[in-house]
Amino acid sequence: MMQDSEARLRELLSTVEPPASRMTATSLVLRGARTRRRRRQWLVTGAAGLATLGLGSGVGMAGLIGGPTRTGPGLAQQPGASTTPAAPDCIAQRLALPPGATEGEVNSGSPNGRYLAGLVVAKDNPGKPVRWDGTRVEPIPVAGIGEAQGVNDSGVVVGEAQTTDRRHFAWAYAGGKVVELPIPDGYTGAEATAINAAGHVAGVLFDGDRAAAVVWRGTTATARVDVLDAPGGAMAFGISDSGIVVGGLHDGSAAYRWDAKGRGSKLAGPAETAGGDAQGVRGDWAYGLLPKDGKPGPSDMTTDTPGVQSIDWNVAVVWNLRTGMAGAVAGGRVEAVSSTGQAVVNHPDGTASIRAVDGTLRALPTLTAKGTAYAQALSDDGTRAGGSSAGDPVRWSCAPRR
Amino acid sequence: MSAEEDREYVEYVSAALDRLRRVAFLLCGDAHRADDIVQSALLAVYLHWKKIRTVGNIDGYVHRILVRRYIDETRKGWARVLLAWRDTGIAAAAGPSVEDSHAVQAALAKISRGQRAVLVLRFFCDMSVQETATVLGTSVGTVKSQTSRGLAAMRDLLGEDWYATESATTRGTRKVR
Repeated sequence: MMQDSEARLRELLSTVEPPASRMTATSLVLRGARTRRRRRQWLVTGAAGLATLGLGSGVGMAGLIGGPTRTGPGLAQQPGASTTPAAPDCIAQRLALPPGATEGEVNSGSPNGRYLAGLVVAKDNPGKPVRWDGTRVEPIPVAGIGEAQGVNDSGVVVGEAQTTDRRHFAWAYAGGKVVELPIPDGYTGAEATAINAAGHVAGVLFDGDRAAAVVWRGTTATARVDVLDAPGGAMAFGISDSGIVVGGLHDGSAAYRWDAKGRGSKLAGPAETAGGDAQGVRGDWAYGLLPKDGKPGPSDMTTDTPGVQSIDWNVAVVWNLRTGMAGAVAGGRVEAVSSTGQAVVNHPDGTASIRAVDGTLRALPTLTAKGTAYAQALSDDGTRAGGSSAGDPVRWSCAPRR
Repeated sequence: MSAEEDREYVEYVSAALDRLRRVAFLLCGDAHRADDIVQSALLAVYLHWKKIRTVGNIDGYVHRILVRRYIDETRKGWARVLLAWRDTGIAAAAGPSVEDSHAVQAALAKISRGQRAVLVLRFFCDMSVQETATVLGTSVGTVKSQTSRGLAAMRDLLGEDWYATESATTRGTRKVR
């Protein structure tokens, strides 16, 4: 009986195919050779390398290989979407890495565009949180392995980390000091996911498979902890300056929001979506990713790569919390929104764009000709974005929209 | 690394890449994250290829690195890991197995991370109980109990899909629910 079960599971596991990937053996060799070169460069140049990579007055301004600005369909509530292309007008700048780091990634940015936060990877550590002020990098001295998840206009950073004994904790970094945020009784772990202008921090508490959305009312070790009510538990991923928190129910059945008084309600998605999460909020705008309702059928198959078929069964969604409208964003995943409703969109072909409310897309260039771009931060005025390009942390600067 | 060593590495990766991507995808349930894990693991292999190329069981060695990378992925935090599973872009091979594949992924997403890792290593990577315990840094007893509970859970979660024994060709005529 057991052997039958094992054989059946082998058969079933063999039916699962990941979607097509652009990764090839050759690209891995190129990447490996580059990493080796960079290691040698660090060894030889030491601190001088920092100046070359990071502080350099334009030395790091690489690439500018943006394709033509593209247009995409507008939100469902914006039928009059503009389709007028504009000239490429964003530049990519490689951000500095601390000594010893081989790659890095931006997770979040401050609304004023000054600060970016994320992680860097080194030979002896797969994840160390960092903050960038402009292009200058500052390692955050958190114990263990971790990453920064949010930063506000004052440069206060929040994130999560895991110690060698597998303890997960939420932390805040301000004034050069790391503070572990308190975990209330009944929970064993925590992570901080976002911070607003007032220093209130959204996050998640854990106890085994149980999860609860939480807001820390401050960034001290004695900050008040408000556990947010939600049926079956929830996770919080964003907090606005007015105190609105967004996230999703723990069982994945609905995106969720809480008002400033902690009253929760489901966030309705566009037609033909079900469940999912809201992953961030800024001003009146929130964004998330919702699965399509039902099961995939033959018409959902795509054939981007000959011989390989795949399905993207998720829909990127932007909500206007003031009007209650939800719009599907075609052609990629949204990873950040501005207070004016602009969004960064990451396309399946490895490119990224800033998307205006009317659907107009501005291409974010990659650092190298064959590189990819993935954006995860956007300033309120839409002129600064952050993310990564082929393993390097990147800041994009764009001309103001006319 | 010499040109010859580069060529050997490309040869090895070309043959192993598809399978490694499948393992990572089964473990983490997210295509982007799976590629990150594979890329990170194979980068480490490249940087140490001079030594690794001489070991007897390269596949076993690389699988160990891959699983360590997956475990290191927990640095992303439990929320991200849970989220990654719910965000899974449903994907499948062309043809009639789409429905089964979707059900298998959905079921894998519902069992515990420990059970999932044990089932994938034992029944997709064909590792022994002892090998699985070594890679996961746990005991043989734990692997056995996780295997037993994981199989039972998958059977319950898959319901009729578990018991379906039609061949791929006959599955094509099944009515889509």
